Amino acid sequence: MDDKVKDKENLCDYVIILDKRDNVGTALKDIPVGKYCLNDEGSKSVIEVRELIRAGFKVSLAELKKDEYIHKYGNVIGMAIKNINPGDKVHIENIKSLIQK
Amino acid sequence: MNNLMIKGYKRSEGVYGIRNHIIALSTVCCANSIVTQISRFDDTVIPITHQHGCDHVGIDREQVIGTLIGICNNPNVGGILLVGLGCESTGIDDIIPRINARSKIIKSIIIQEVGEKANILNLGKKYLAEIKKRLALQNLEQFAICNLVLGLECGASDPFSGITANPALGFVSDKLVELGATVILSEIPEMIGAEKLLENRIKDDMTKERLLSAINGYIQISRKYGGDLLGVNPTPGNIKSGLSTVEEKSLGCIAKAGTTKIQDFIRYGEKSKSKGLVIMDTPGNDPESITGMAAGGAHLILFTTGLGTPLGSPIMPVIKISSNSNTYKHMKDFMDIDAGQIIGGVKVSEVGDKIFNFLIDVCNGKRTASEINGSKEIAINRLAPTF
Repeated sequence: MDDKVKDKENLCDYVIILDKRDNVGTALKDIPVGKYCLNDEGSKSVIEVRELIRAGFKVSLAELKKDEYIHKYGNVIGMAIKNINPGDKVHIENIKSLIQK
Repeated sequence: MNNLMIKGYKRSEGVYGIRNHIIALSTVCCANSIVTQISRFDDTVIPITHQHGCDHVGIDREQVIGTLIGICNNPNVGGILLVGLGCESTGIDDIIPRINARSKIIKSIIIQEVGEKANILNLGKKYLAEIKKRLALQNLEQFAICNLVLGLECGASDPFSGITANPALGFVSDKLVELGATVILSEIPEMIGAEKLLENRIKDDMTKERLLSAINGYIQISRKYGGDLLGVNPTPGNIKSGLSTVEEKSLGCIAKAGTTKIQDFIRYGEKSKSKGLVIMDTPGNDPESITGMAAGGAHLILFTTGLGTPLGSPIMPVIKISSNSNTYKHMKDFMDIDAGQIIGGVKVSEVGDKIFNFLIDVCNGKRTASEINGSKEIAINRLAPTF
C-alpha cells in the first residue's frame, strides 16, 4: 500500500469540483493514497484518501451522513446509503439514485 | 456568419440533403434477405433492413411505418428502392403516398407479386440502375446553415462525458441555434434527475407537461418491469467507469444541449416544425434514438462517447467525439474529435470550435469515421408488443 503522505499536495490538482455546492469532486487523474489539503474558499482542511481513486471516480469532500444528498454539477445526483468520510471514494457501494428503491 | 453556406442537394424549398444516398429499404422483416441480395449489385446502394413491419397494433404500427417513411423522407436520401412482401401491415401502398415524391426517385418491388427469385433480383438491379442514372443528374447547390437539422447523442458515456465532450457539444448547440439551425436533444431516460434544469428552459406549459410525463413514463416502466435502473441506466460500462446514478449521468448528458430555450417536444421520428433546440421522445438506446432523429429529418448526428463505440447510421454522417484522450487513441479508427484535451487545459470553446469546423466540412462532403467504417446500424423504437 502506498502510504506516502502528500501533505503539501492540493486535492484540487487531482479533482474537478464542478460547482461550489458540490460535496464530491471528480478525479481527473488517479488519486494515490495519502493526505491532501483542500483549499475551499479560504478555509483549509486536510483530506485523507485511504484507497486509490481512479480517474473518473468521485471523492467525498466532506463528512456525509447516511441519507444525505450527494451534490455534483450543483445538483443532487443521489443519496448516501451509509456514512461517508472525507476522502472516501463515492460510488454505488455508498450512494444510490433517489429513484432507486 | 449567419449566412454561412453549405453544399447540398435540393429536395424542396429550404430542404437540402448533405448526401445523395440510394437506399434499398425492406418494408417488412420478411423482405430483408432479398434487400441484402439486391444491394450486392451496387456497393453505393445502402441496404436498410430491420426486424419489423407486421402484426403491429395502433400507435405502434404508426410509429414503425412513420419511421420507415421518415427514413425515406430524410433529406440525405435521393433514391429509394422499397422492397415489400405484399401482405405486411406497413405495406408499400401505405408508404409511398407519404413520401415527398417530388424530390425523390422511388421504385418498389412486391415480392409476392413478382414471384420468382431471379425476376425479383433482376428487377431490383434494373431499378437501382435507373435510380442511379437519374441521381447523377442532380447537382450540388449552396444552402444556408439555418436549414440544417442536427441530432445530439451520447453513448457509452463515462464521467468525463459530462465534463469535456458534452459541454463542448453544448457550445456547438448554442452556436447552431444562434445561426438559426434546428438541434434535437433526445434520450428521455437520460433526463431523469435533470427535470428542473430542462423545465426552466421551456416557456409553454403544455410542452413542459409533455416532457415531464415522458420522463416519468420511463421511471414507471423501470418499476413495472422489475427493479431499478442501476445496471440499465447507468449501464454496467457507465458504472465501471465511475458513473454511479442515473441522475449523475443525466446531468452530464443534458450539457450537450447548451443553454438556449427549448422550443418544442416532438414525437419519436417526428419532423420539427420549430427551429432552435427541440427535444425528441426517444429512448436512451443509441441506435433507436439515432434512427428516430434520422426519421425526423436530421442531416447528421453529433455523438459523444467516453468508452467508445463504432455506431453509425445508414443515411446520416455521425461525428464521434471522445470525452477522454485514452479512448480517442485506443479506438482511433472510430473517433473524429478528441474532447479529452479539455482535461489537459484546452478550453471548452476551443474544442467546440473544432467540432463546429469539422461539422461544416462533413456537411460539405468530408467523411466521418462512421462513414469510412461503414457503420450503418438501425433500430426502430416500439410502443407495443407484436401481435
